[in-house]
Amino acid sequence: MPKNFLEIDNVTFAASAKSKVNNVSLTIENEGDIVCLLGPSGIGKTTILRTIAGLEKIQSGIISLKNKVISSKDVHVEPENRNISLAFQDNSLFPHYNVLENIQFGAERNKKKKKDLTIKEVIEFLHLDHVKEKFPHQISSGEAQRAALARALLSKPDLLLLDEPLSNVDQSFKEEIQVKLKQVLTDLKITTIIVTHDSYEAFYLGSKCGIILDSQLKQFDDPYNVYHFPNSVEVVNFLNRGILIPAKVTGENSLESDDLGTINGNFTKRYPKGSDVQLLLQPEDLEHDDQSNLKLEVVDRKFRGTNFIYTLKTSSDLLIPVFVHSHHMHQHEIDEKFGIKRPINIDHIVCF
Amino acid sequence: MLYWTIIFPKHLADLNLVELFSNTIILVLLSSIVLIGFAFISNYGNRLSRSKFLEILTTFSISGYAIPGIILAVAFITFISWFDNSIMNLFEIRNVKSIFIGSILGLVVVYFIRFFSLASNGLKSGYLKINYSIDESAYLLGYSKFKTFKNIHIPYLKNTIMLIGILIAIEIIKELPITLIMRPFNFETFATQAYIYASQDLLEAAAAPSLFLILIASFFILITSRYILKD
Repeated sequence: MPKNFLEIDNVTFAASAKSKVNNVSLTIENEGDIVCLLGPSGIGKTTILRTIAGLEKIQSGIISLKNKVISSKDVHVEPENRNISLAFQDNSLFPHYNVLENIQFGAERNKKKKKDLTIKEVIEFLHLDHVKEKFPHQISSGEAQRAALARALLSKPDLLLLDEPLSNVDQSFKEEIQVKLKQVLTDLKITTIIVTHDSYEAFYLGSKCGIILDSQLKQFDDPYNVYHFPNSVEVVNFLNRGILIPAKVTGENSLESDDLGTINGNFTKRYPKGSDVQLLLQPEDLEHDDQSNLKLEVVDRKFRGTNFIYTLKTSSDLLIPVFVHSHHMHQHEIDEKFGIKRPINIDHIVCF
Repeated sequence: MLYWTIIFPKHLADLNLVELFSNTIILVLLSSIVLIGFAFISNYGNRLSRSKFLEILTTFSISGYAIPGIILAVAFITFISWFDNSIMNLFEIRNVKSIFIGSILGLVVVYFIRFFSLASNGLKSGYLKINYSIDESAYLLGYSKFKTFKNIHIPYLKNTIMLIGILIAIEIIKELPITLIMRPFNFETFATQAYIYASQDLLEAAAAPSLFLILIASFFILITSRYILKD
């Protein structure tokens, strides 16, 4: 018998031929863990949540929750008997009840189960006080999404599934809600799977992240590892946080790039000397140095608040992103030259 | 009609208003309950099973509205005479002449065939407004299929139900051929009473039941328009 809190063993999730994720194996070891699933739209992330919730049946594999099989080829526990809550991305509030009554529906479930979270607290932290007497058609999609989240949280489920929970929420309090949501989920030990397309949200909320691409769970790991040690070119391309440049391995800790020269660091995998590789270069891997003789042309500059991301063009027309702290006094305009500190040292070298 | 009712008050006094009214209302209530009940079974069944077969069956079952009432009543009597005899022989019922013919039960059955489309289509359009994710949300809050129906669908559809009930009521109180052929002996409604007088050329006497029929129907139409606005 499985000993993990949730175990998905070799399950193919399919709502249609298009929306299909094959042979997924994934475990949530402990109660209270938060897992985020990332992937492009229409890949089947919602189908995974719907299947775990029991709204779709499976043809192969096994899903077990708290050591009990809830879905397999022969077993299908009905959604109402799973004690799993799912907050849909779209408005799924009961249209003939106001926001407060909708939230109370959640609180009605598992009334006897002790969880220190009151309706008032949830309404407060999700900023729903001003709409609690309104009906679903009278509120915005972001407010409806938060109301659905409140209802799901209060239902005290064994497993909480959130489908893009904050996708319609205003940027002004999105971060605040993320912080409080994480705090509540952690304090109450509510095991959660969150589907999102926002990688920052996933990296912040999840203790583990799964990347779904090409109908497969490509990587399931700590957010740090997913970002810094992507296991495939597809994951790199999906996260879009760096580029791959051609290089030649010149030693145990070094490689040579036609555009950037010698690069030193620790390889995450061993490659034979002389082999041609694709080096993952992330914005924070290169350092800016006005005095450097390695100068590249600025083709774009994105201001991100705390930093700038410069896009630089190399001699072979590669576009390289470089992170610069926004307090850096010397700002470079488009077409200007931008110095890169040499020698280039990268803490961990990821190659494919 | 108002003029005749006023200048011939004797005809109005001769009418057994309480009996006519209660007979009409009994038919309306019974039929509405049966029709709406079965419409719920069929629509919610379709919603749960999403079965093509059930959908085709429902489409077939609503075709009764296209058949004229008198043809439906005659066809029903022909079929039911055989069916009635078979049932009574099977269960050896000797003290009843007929179960369906000349009984309120038979009348309600024919109303059902005739007006099921009203109830079913009305409810279908009501259900179209309830997204499937609403049902799924209820299941995920621990509600069974029945509890979802009782606590989510019924409150949401209450205006639609009222509207369907009123439409059925209006149809039934003015329905003549079926009521005339299928009704129990001495069981009169405003519509049959008006017909009986009119067929005997007693137009002045037919005025009062006709007027009541119009008043009741108008009352229902007024409520209907209120519910349409509300919905």
